[in-house]
Amino acid sequence: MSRLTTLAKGVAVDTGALAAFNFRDMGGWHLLTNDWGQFLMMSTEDFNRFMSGKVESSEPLYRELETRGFIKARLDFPQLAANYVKKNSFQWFPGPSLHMIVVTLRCNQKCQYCHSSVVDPSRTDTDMDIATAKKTVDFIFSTPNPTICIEFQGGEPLLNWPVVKFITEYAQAKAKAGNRKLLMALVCNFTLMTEDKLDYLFDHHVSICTSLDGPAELHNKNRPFLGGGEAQQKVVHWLERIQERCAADEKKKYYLPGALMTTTRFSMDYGPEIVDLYVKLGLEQIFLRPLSPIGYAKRVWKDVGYEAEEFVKFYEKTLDYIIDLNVSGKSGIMERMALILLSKIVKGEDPGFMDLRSPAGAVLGCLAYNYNGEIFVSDEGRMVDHQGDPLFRVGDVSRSDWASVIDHPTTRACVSASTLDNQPMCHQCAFKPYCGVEPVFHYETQKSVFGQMPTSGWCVSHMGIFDVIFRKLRDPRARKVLDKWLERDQCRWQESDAVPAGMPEVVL
Amino acid sequence: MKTKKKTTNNAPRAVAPQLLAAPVPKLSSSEASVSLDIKAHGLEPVLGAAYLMMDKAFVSLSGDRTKTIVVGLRAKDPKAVKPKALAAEFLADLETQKVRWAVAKNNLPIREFIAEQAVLIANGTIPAPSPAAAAPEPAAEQLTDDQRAEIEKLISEVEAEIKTMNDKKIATDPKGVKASWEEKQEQEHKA
Amino acid sequence: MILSKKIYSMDAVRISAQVLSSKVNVYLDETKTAFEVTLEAKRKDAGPEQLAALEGEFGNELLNQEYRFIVGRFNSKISALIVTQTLMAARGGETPAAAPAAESTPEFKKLVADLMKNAEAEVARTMPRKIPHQGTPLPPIKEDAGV
Repeated sequence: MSRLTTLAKGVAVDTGALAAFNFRDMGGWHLLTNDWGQFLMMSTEDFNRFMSGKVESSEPLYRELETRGFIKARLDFPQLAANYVKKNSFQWFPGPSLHMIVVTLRCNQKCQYCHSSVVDPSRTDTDMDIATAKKTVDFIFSTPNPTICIEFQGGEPLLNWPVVKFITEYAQAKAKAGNRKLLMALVCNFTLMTEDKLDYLFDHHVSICTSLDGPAELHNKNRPFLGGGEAQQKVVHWLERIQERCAADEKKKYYLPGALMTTTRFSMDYGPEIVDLYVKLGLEQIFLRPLSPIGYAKRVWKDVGYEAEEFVKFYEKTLDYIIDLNVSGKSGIMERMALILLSKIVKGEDPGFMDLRSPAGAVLGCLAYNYNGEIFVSDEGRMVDHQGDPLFRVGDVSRSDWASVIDHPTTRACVSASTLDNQPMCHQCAFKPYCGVEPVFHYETQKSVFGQMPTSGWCVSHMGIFDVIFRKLRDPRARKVLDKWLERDQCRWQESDAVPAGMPEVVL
Repeated sequence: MKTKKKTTNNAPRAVAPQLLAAPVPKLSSSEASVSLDIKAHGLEPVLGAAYLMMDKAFVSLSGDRTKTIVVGLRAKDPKAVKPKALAAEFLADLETQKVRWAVAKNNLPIREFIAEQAVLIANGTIPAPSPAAAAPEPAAEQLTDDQRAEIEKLISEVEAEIKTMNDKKIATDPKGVKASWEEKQEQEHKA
Repeated sequence: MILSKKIYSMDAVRISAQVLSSKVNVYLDETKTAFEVTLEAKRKDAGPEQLAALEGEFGNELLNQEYRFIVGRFNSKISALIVTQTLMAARGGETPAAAPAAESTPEFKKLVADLMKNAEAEVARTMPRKIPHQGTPLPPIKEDAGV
């Protein structure tokens, strides 16, 4: 059967009484969802009775269907509309909040899959200069969102440390002057970190995130130093050092470093070992993300890539291991992708993940600024430009204003292409209320911002992940763990909301 | 004299599959082709079912989208899937697409209305419903079939126990001396 | 390929030709009732199997576009509402907000000037010499990159 699944042969159907819904045969049970984010997991027998209009109004199942908006004659329009607003709150946001500044393309590592299309440390022509840095910050503060998050990226941003400091202090001065809420984050490989730099980052409330792909043999294979050498030791050293400094000072509890892993073909055999390392280092979360064939990764896909189905198997196996750790009490480590999807599915809220929004976060939620001041719809769009294709460039900090960026034809094309009601397969998919498509991914892999969903690796991997998550939601043992994760995540966001505007704040 | 206007429900309904003669695919060694009357099956379901085959087949269309479309299916990997299997999968998807599209067409005005309402709520033009009006979260969806069966078993055990206790009460107090006025009223009412 | 005009539209043919332009050159002729499309593989060593696959891919892309038009038209009111709403909200209004008054003060301007001066000095003191622009980091990718 097709990936959307089919009705069983001979099932009687009476569509007259049914409200708008999508369904999925989950193998032994069925999932119903609707555009307003409501879902119901039911036995196949109940699903068949629902489809043929045989659920009596006196049954508990009828009440469940009714309260969730699956009975056409009993729809609560205001409530369903309110659910939609809550779930899609980002559609009303005044512009992007996430601004990724690439302060240099230079890097001292040669990661096998590097999206960023880096250059070696001699290429100082790819350093952002002070004048461009100022114009970039001025542009960022001209965008309308009262909350601004600046994320330093590269290359390796610590190779252009003076510009990192300038942007930090200039942005904080502007935030205070304009009473804007400012968050700052640095994504770096830790190999160039020093105590002085760490002091500066703490003093200026810049949160820190790094890449940690797993045990040394895996991490060093994926992310060697230029000219060879082992980088993992440095990453582990600085993770432990920052945690040590945070533990020594109560005020630094929000500065705990984060780590992200990139899944390559080599990672597939290391799921539990990667998790064990994250647990050993006291990291609160691990993010199991698929690698996208964009930028440099596309060139080396034959060596580092994999089929979408392979990733889904890896994801389920590793998530099972994480859940087992939680159940046994050995660790409370959370998986970030699951947490993002659970926020959408269970809480009916938008967790701020740009890639799984309809429309996607390109421009609407985030912008990427290259070292030379060029503005892109996203970091992935910037990487496409590195290959010589400027399609996703929407402006320049020297010449553009915010109106010209939001009015740019590429912006409109990305918004239209990533609205799931425009997508042939997505509009019938049971995961539609919680999913999203990425225009740059589809352009790179299928030569069109709309893409072709039946053959899309993005679609296969995300449908697979959703299948896994819904199966976990139906399993009481796993559900307990997932509910606890949601509670803990809720507490973190409530704490961060308490910081007033104008005060520097850490990104959690 | 006025004649009563006959009201009809014009909402499209999916026809039970057995009422339509199943299309018979033509099979060759490399391709399956299915000829479909658009008036009987609907353009959207036909194209929708063809669309879903694109991950495993090369799909070609010929004919006239207002009359008859011939859908050609050629496996991308002939070793992995045969033309007969392609045709069977296509026809199964076609039946499901008819249901999906019927539901979609029946409910488009409602979806549009709710989308408009959402904009009005978000922009503050109309008030959002109060939280108290929100539907309570039913717990039943969290229960598996085994859990539901377990709960029903527990309920019937408790009911049986209550019945046993009541029977015992009557045995130790045959004249109901210890019974409260309410219990006496309940017993008289039952009688 | 002969494509009936009673099935396929010119828009779908054009878009499909663009989508597959890295793999094929597309030559288009038409009669009253049909498009006559000739596909020429860009890879000179393409054999019969590859050519058949390219023809199949082109057919699939045509279907992709035609069905997308149908779905787009069906949901047009809702998707137009969403797209318009998100773009208008993101724009933040017709006229951009004025810069905060606090940024016009002499103190703020001096702060900024000092920040820039110190930063430039640190760059001159600690950073390697800047070299002239060396061109695009990477050449365009070859089509058979394995994705």
